[in-house]
Amino acid sequence: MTFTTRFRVGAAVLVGAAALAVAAPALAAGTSPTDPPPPARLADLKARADEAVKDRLAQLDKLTDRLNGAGTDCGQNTDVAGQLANDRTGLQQLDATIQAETDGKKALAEYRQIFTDFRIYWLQTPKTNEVVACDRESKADATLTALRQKIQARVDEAKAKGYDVSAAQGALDDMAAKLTDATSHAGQASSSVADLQPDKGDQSVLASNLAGLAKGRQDLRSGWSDLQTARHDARTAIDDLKNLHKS
Amino acid sequence: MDASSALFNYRALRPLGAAAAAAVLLTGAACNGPLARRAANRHAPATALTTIVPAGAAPTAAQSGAPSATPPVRTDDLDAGLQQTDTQLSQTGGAIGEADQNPQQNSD
Repeated sequence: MTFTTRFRVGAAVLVGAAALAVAAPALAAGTSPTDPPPPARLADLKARADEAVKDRLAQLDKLTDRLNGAGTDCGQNTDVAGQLANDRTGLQQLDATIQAETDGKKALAEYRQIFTDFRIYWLQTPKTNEVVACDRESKADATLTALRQKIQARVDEAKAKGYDVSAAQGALDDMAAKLTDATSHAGQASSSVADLQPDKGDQSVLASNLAGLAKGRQDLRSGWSDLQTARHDARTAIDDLKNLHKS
Repeated sequence: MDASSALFNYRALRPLGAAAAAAVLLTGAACNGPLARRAANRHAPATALTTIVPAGAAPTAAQSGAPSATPPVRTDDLDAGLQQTDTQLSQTGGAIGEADQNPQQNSD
């Protein structure tokens, strides 16, 4: 590889990285969805509609499995599972209506509803993922809470034996506070996204939904940070117990 | 053998001797790596211990070189509990990573 070739490859890599750096914030901000252009012929439109519905039904199955496999419930699982079931029924009915349609204009309007009235990818998928993440945070929170209680019992035991447990107790107190915060953040994420409804083509609702989902993700990240700090506190308290000395 | 033929033989053999010397040197260099490694291994501990510490984890007493006296209360089950927590946290991190992705880029 000559120097010139290397230079060109390097330049291409830099340009690519710069393009990604520019594109990433735009994607992270949640660009508005663009619904696919409908086919001109009615037969093509029907075929495309059937394909789009089947694709979304498969996605709904995946989301339902994910929800059922969460192992715990942050409080919104039943609600969201019901929404996914209703989406399934609604999409099947809409597909049947489109397949029986003879009026091109009506078929076109119904075709658009597959996207705007359900938002399986832009709303229901991130919503379910956030609710499942809340479930997982809740489960980890419960495990850490049980561990905290166990450590507290040992701290109390050591204290009764005359050891200075102030450092371990301080770590445990912080752990308790972080676990409370984690529960709060996760709960906010789940409850704020669970009832977001498809925009049905209303751009303001769409923007509001995307903002709500972004806020939910932020809450989940905060909860995750709290859990990690709580875990660190647990480690500190256990290590303090190992290094106790008489007060 | 007169002096001139001895000189001739010396001149004729000199390149061969140089080649042989080079071969000996090369062989020595090639063998030195493995031999040196073998010698180093003899001085190395029998087993290499690798400790994986989760990010943000505080050093344990053993890692920080603190005295390993028996703690006044039992802690081994607490360590086990922490390991169980790590498994859960790993799953939680995966779920959050999934939720943290943007809505799919295909239109909907």
